[in-house]
Amino acid sequence: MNIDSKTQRTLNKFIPQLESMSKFGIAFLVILILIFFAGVYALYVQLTEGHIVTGMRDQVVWGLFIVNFIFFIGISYAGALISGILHLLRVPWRSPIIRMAEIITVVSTIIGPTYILLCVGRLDRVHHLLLFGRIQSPITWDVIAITTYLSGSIIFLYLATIRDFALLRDNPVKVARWRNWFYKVLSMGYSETPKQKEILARATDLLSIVIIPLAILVHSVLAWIFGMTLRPGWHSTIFAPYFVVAAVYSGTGVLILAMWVFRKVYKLESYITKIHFNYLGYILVMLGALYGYFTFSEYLTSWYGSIKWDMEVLHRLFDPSDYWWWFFFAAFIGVLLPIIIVTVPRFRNINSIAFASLIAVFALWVKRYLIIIPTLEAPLLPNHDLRPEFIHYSPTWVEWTLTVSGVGMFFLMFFLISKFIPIIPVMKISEEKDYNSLRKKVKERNLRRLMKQVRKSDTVNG
Amino acid sequence: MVHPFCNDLIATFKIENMQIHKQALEMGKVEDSQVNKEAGNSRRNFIRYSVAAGAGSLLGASLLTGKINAEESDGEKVKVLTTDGRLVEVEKGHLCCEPVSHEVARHGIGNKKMVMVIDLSKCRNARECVKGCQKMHYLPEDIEWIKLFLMRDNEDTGPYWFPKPCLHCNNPPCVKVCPVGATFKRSDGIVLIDNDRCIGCKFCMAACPYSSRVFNWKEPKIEPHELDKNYSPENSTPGKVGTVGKCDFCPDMVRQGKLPSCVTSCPNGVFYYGDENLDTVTNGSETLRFKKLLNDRTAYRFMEELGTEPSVYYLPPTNRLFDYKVGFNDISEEEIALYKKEARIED
Amino acid sequence: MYNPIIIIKMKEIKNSLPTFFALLAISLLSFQAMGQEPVKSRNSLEYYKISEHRVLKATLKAKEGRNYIFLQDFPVEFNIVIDTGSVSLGSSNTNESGEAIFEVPDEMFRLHSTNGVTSFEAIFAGTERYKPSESSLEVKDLKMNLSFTQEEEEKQILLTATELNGDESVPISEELEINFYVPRTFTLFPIGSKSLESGKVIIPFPVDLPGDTLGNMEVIAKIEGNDTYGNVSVSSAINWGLAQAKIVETNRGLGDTNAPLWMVYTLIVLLSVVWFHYMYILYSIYLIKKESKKALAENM
Ligand code: SF4
Ligand code: SF4
Repeated sequence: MNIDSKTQRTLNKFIPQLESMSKFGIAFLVILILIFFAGVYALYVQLTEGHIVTGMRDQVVWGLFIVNFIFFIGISYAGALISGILHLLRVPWRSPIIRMAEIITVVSTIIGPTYILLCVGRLDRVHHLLLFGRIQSPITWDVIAITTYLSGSIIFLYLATIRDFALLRDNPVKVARWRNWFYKVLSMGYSETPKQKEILARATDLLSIVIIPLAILVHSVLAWIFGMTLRPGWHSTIFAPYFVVAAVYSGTGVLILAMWVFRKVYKLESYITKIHFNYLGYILVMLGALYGYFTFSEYLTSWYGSIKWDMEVLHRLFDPSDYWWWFFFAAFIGVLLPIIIVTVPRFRNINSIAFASLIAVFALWVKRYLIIIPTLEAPLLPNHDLRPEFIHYSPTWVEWTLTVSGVGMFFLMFFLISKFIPIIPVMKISEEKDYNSLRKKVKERNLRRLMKQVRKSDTVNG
Repeated sequence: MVHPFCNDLIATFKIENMQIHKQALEMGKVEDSQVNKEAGNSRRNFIRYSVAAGAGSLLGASLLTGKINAEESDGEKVKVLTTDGRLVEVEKGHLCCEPVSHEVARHGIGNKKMVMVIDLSKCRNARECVKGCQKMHYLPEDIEWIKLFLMRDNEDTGPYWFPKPCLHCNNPPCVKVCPVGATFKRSDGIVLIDNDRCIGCKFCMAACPYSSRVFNWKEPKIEPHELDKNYSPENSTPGKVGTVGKCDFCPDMVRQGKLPSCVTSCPNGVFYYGDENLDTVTNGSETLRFKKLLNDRTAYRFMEELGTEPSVYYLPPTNRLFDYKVGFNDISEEEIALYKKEARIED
Repeated sequence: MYNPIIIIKMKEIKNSLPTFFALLAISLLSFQAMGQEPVKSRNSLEYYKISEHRVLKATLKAKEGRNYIFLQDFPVEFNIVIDTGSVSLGSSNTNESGEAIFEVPDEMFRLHSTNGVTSFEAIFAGTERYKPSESSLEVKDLKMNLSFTQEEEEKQILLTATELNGDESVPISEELEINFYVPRTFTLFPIGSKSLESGKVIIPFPVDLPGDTLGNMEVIAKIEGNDTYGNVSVSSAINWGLAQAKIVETNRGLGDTNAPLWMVYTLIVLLSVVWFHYMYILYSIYLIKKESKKALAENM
């Protein structure tokens, strides 16, 4: 495949990324691997001693694991959003972030479900899901939906990477032989013939159409695990859309964070620009507002209706000695702060948008905690248990270790993938318009608008 | 050692009035019941024999849907006089303790529909049901399948003690959500757990609105004598780590025609158990018409509004035999404080 | 630990103070011998006539500590007592409720009863731990017959009772109380009780009680704990009960093993739509590969 000089230039910029690892990179890798092994040890303890080592008990049967599960499936929305919607809408600025979004999706869709497995009391019997699976159970829906979603996301990531594989095949980088061999195999003999280009484009379009409803379904099904039970705070008809919105919100947040990190680490300032942060920031605001609206609607309804059990949950959420400050953070700060940061021009810059995303992502994690735990702590019947851990949930070191380990795994996998393929689609980006010129155009437009205003004010004054 | 509640024997029921019933059969008064047809061919001879033995034993025969068949019943026989004064011939050995297979346990017993009636006016938190149940199912002290609550509907109404086993809902939320069918509803109304199939996802625990389910968070301590007893979903023992447990309505006892331990151990006869299709329930000392009891005492089902349709009925705590404070006699200060807090009782 | 012997003694002390010291001495001695000293056992014999079966039930108990316990797995000898001594019938072991059940063989009963009267004894030979004990009783044979009659609309249960007088069967003259029951899952449900009048009693049939799915129902009539006749019961079956509706196991529903059909269809449709697209896309990738070969061939 012959490439023009511009592509070559872009590629040259990414080759060091693939070929070598800095000292920091190695240190980072070692730390991540250590974290991973800490998780393995915690899992070993849990497997040998039973779930007694967790903070879960008969009353609060689901804890951090499920919180993390929802969280990771939630951030997997980054890919569905960017690659699906932005691709379909042919949004011009999506190209540099599309791969990052896809990687987030794949990685978090792999990590999320492992938390469900951690929560299962008999890991040795997971195959029963296949042997005796019941279609009526939302867990079965989940298993089916997530495997389908994961397969789709992997295919999507692959489709979007074929061209770069071909590029790497034809411009060998100085890496281990097996890697070059992989590039060759994975490139599927792609060589930019018009026919190939067409097939690829059609396949990508098709998949992005399929993946959007699928992603919505995945998170709805996840919400239904809770919505289908007769528990206060869970048994709600808006739970599915609520979860979907919350998921896209956190997904966008994670994407912005990833952009920020890679921009810094791999020096991608010329590709990932303020425009990307701004536009994604606007999307974040929109989703944040939507999420805030759902939250308000949910709690207003149950407060106004004042059913005893709903009130029980609300009391916990609004009691300063219980969950109030967390709730305040998740439902108020986590919505308002990002909105203010992004909408007020004075606060809006790359770093502050990344910070807003961080707040949003963390708030969403807390929100998931507040969805699971207070409801389980408020059963329909009184609880007369004398053992405090059977009334109040507090996660143990095993759960925290596995949580941290999961986050570590997320970074680890992301890191390794970014060492294997360029984090930005090289082929795509080089064939698109020059971003600097795009930037210039935006500046010009702004300038024209300014001139117009000046002129207007002139006429008024004059 | 033998399970304390198990006879060491039970198998072929041979009821007293053979001749009379044979006559009845010949006269065409009594036909073979459907039991006969349901039974597999291998069991046909045996069942026919039992059917001929008396209409009462139709039920007896249908209890034995397990492994017993004509070939197996050649062993040494022992006569047993049942508590209600009937002569029964049973096989010696461990047949009675040989629990039914997992497959058989998934179906109801005969044409039964088991129900329970709990008389709240007689409960005084004696907790004998809890202990009896724990003993029978080898549960450790901190696992309770029957729980006792001190209920008070609002600040102005009287508190009352409220024993609560699994309610064996006819529309059980727990069963609906199980991904592997490890918990299931049988035609006789009993909701059971197959601890060999359960994957421990705890979804059923989240789904049960009545806090009926408990989890084996750690490896249960198995007493040596428990090993004698093979596991069956019907006897639920011994427990298995990482799986769910709950009150099982004692189908193994029903098969033997015996009352569950909670019923027999309650000193106040609070629990009535029986077959709705035979329209009678008993607490061991008195046997009452089920429908009439529900009607006369305006029984109710707990949280009927959830649509779970429990099989357990409660008789309202009117004209209570004991003051609720009697229930505080044998429990710790700490526990009393907790009860009072939940029931919003001020000193 | 409790010395069981002392407890028994303490009760007796109240009755006769003079023996107090003697008893105390004995109990002190027994204290030393504790563990070896055999414990008194109690043996009570009951007689049941169930249809044509005559059954003896001997219950063995002993006081251990504060409570009575049932003695399990001990042999009890059953005899018929006649003028010249006793005839051994056989023996039976006690079960976990301390009961030894023994069915009296018909011919033995016929040989050794006079005018329907027989006396039985149950002997527990004792062991190292428990002292021997025995009990006896005398019963008169009674024959009951249960039948069902229908007079116009009214369904009735008819019971007749006869006993032997010389060689003849004669109706019972005594006004014995007869209890009627219908057996249910765990217990007998009482449907009435009435006294015999010249050997006969009629009660209405409980028409509102359910039988099995065909309406078959068993009725039991009993004389309970009578000094002369012991426990006598007879039973009979008839299909006058209300027929139970047959329970049909549902097999498709939210709570059943199999899912409702609409769910299955929805799932199949959704999954096949999605996976069809995946397959198509994988096929496209294959096309790309094929295309590359073509291009390669053209270039050469
Ligand atoms: S009470 Fe709970 S566990 Fe029992 S059947 Fe109903 S939902 Fe299931
Ligand atoms: S914990 Fe066991 S019984 Fe309960 S839903 Fe999961 S697999 Fe079924």
